[in-house]
Amino acid sequence: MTMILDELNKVFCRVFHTKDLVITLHSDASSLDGWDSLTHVALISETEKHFKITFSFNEMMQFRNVGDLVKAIEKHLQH
Amino acid sequence: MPNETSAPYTLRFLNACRSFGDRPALVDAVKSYSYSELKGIVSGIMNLLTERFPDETMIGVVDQNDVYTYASILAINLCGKTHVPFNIRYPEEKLVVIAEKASVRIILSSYAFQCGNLHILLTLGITGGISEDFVPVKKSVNPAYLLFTSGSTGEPKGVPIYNHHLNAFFDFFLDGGVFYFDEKDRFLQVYETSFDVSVFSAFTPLLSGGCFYLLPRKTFAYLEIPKILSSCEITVLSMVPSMLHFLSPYFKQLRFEKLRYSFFSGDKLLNSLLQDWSTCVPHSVIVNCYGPTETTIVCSHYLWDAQKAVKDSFEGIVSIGKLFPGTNYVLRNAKEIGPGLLEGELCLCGQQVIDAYLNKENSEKFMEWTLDGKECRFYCTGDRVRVNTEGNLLFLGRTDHQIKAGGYRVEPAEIETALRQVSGNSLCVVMGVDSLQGSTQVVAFVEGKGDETELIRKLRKKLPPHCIPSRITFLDQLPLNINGKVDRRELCKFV
Repeated sequence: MTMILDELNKVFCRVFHTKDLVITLHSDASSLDGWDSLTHVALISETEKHFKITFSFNEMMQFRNVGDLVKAIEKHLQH
Repeated sequence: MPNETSAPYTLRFLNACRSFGDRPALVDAVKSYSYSELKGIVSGIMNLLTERFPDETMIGVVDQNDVYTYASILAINLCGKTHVPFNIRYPEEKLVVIAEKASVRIILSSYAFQCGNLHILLTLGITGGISEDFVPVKKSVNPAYLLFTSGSTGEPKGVPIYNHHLNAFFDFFLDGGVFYFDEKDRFLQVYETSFDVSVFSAFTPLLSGGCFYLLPRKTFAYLEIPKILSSCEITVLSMVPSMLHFLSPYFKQLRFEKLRYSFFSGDKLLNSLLQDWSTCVPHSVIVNCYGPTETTIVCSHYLWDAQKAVKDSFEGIVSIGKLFPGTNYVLRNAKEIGPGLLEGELCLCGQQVIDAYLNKENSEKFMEWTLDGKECRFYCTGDRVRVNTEGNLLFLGRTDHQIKAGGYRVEPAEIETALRQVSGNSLCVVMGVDSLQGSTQVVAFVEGKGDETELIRKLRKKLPPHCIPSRITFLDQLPLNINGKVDRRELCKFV
């Protein structure tokens, strides 16, 4: 899980155009400035590319914080 | 001052209340409200306004995305007063400027809200005021609503929309013979009330006996759209193209059998995107609409057809079609104005087009021109169009640097002014760039060095959310062209 979080941190830094961002499993839209609907799409799209996975629309609907995202990535990588 | 007559769109609402009293009118996050219940809340707010503030004409309404927001707007219009939308996502500094420019002293809100020294009236829980037989003010010289758009001078400018403008708009949509709405229709209202297409999504159903659902304002609100379309069996949907871009990666998983109309407006729309969307909405008529705020919501439409759309597109952008009856145009270029031109800046006049901004600001955006022997006042849109052989208008681009972000009009000068104030740097440039997701993003360039995060934090206190740059790039020197002006093409390379 830590490895996935570290990799995901790189994706977040890319999408949010910053080098200093440190995300945790509890990070969500209220704790990260600029995480809105449009950045969310970019984030999902970049995450899919980075991990070479594809989320379903229903999966994306469930993402409420970074922890949810990490769990979903983990599930895809196990299959 | 325009010659105001009756206000049939408010009468249409009262007629719907009489005919469809027990049917649902509005569904918010809490519950479904029937026409009778909505009318009760409207009459309670009318009571408050007429008894306590008979002389106040400009009334602010805080958009709380609930029944009280829309009941307040209806009550204001039925009293012959003017609705001024207050968006809680805007910084207080901006809202104070809007209140001052619009002479607003009273604001209606269903929840606690603070803005400068303005008087806030809480509407939560209000119901049953004036008797059931109340009648709207028949002759009002006041605008129905006053919207503020991004101004090229750095200040927001007020667009007053009068009853006769709205009447013409609804006459076309409800009686024009093109669209058919009735009491069985369920609209989804996805917009904030400071965005004028909200008037279409909320009031078209209320004038025809249908109902509308409010999209919850969650962080990822767009994600809720497919869920509500399916679970509430929505029949009429209006979106800005950026919402469609947002959903596009999931088109293959989406299908909405009940949707009858799928409207778009607010920005350029790609034909390829519509081709894919059309498979998600197999029984829906797809309509691309066009219209600046100054022309009352939208004033042209194009009924999309998979076979004809490519021919009616320019560089893949769907045509904006033909103007509504009652709206006319001429094109102009640097040398001439006239009906003979087939390409140029689109200038509009007619029943839906305003004569002037609030306080007659930016008068250079209007011109007098004689059309068919009659002197008309035209609003010059800044949009470049071409007329094709079918008479459809094709959008070619802008005559200036104006940006459309998420359907909102953004004047770079407004952001540049704020950026200069917070950065202390005199050389700042703001541009719109197409993102990988297909939507337009606002980006800024500042000469010198600085802290991007800090500047954005300061800008959030001055500008509405849609005006906040997604990225600020610092350059030692902004590139100049041979005329000594900032070279925007060269700047694109730094994005």
